[in-house]
Amino acid sequence: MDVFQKHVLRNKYLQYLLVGALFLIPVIFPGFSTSFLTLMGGVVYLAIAGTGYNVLLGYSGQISLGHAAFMGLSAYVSAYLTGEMGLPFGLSFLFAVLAPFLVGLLLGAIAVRLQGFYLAIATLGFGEILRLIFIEMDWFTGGFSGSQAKYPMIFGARLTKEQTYIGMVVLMVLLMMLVYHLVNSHTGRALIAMKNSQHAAQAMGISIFKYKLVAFAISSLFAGISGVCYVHFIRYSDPTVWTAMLSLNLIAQVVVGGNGTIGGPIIGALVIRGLPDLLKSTPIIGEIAGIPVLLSGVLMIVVLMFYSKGLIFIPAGIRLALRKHILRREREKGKGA
Amino acid sequence: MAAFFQNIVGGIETGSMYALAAMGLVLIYQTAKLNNFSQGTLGMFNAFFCTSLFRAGVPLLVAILLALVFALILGALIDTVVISGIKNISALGRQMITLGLIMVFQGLAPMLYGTNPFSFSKMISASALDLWGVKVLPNSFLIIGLTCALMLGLYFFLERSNWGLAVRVTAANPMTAKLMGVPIRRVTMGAWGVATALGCLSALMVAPITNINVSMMENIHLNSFIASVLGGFQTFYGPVIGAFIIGVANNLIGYYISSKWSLAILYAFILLFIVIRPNGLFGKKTINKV
Repeated sequence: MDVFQKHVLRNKYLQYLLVGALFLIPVIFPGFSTSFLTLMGGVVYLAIAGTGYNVLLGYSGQISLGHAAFMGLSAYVSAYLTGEMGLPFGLSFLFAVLAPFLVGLLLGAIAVRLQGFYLAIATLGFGEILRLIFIEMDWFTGGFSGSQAKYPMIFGARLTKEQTYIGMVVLMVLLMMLVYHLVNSHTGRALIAMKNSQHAAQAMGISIFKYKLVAFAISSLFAGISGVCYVHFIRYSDPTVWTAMLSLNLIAQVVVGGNGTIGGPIIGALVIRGLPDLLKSTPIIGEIAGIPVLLSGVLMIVVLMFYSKGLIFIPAGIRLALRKHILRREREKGKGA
Repeated sequence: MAAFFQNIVGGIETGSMYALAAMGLVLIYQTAKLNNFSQGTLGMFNAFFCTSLFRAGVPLLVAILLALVFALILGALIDTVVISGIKNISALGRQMITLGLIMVFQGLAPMLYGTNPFSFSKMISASALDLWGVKVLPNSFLIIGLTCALMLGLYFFLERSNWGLAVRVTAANPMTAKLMGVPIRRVTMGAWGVATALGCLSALMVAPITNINVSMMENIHLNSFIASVLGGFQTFYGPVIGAFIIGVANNLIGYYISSKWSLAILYAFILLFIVIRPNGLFGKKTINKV
């Protein structure tokens, strides 16, 4: 049993694969509606963006309110390249992800000089500039009426909605593994050192400039992948999606799920995005305007008030409480005897 | 030349709305050390409250005053119940609570007041006055005058009164303030109340232009954040000046360069400015001790 626990249950890769398998339930088993699949697709693309954002916020201690615009950027680029230019999906994916990566590098260079609140608002302004570009450059983005895309075409075959969803889940699991590798590498340890104290990290010979760039570039890259997933799953993109509110939701997702953990952003995406949508489609609650959002907001506040470390630590918390309880009972027994 | 001054007056008018919101942001930031992301949403909710009173037959002026009092209490209540009352939470977690508040009030507003936007008339509906070729609505005078009066009032409150001193001490260092016997819980409670009332006033000023709906404050909220950073967050007056600069500059760029791209150009300039001066116009450099 011990061996099993050590090698199978504790194996991170198997855990991530299990998460992926759970996400695949609506595709494998019949009886789930298409709207539920759309909802889960929304959770998966946010989970991907959140996983990247976690590298920035949870591991490097930097903040950005511009990442929603990066997601939008790659969504528009991918829609334009596959639609207007007729490029194959693989190639356009590459370009679409490269665009926010480069912009993220630029933002990282700005971030070197700014800290905390100033950084948050500077990135907010940066994101707003991008969003204004989405609105005004209508030959590229379709302006307010938005831009259309199709399901991805791979090796000459057009994927169905289910297959696109499976592809997104596979991507999500791969990216989780990638982040796990990253944070346990030299780079990851440098990022964590930077989060804990910039001065101490610098004193240890870690280049703040380099690792801020790395953190911003990686998280922007993930945001880009997430944007491509969005536009080819929902098949539509308009500027009202990529607002600062989405960036704030990314932060909320990471914090509510568990800041600086790999599973946290996934749980966060389920709660922040999945729950309001699920409530909207439930019979009585969903019919009164506003209640789904209200309930999600209340839940979020309650989680933060009473479990500010994040939802992912709840099992560990329960285990700890149980162990304490057992210990206390044993002690009382000992006293009695 | 008349067009130039016309743009400046218009800019000061929108700048006033940003300034009120920015003042609210900086009050909370300085005393409670957190960014209140829910300020715009709270303003929206209180504007709904004010209009619903007006529709129930309460005279407009009384309705506005009641709404301001309601906002004051709501802000203080939020601080005591969900912000200051909690221990063991990171600074980021606290800010995320204000994000949860956005969801709560964006859910409450359509529940209580329906999904249709409310219209809201100007406080003074008289036609424009002609001052040497510049047309100014009396309502604009009211907005600008009220904002300036409030800002001056707050300035003297902060600089001259005992409570103002308590606020400044808390802003400088909450821990020391507490040790010196400043009731910082009451200070943050008051700051939240006043800030929420300022946000409500800002919402009521923009209401005749946008109507009262769930997303009415998005633009003001965003610009008040950017104004705070432009002016520098470590002072109380910096954000207010930043707000007026944004209002005026946006109008001038829109008139002389490009109305389509004015905001993008303005934000780009501000971004550049912040990279050069990372603490804003009036901000002081904070030195971290290792």
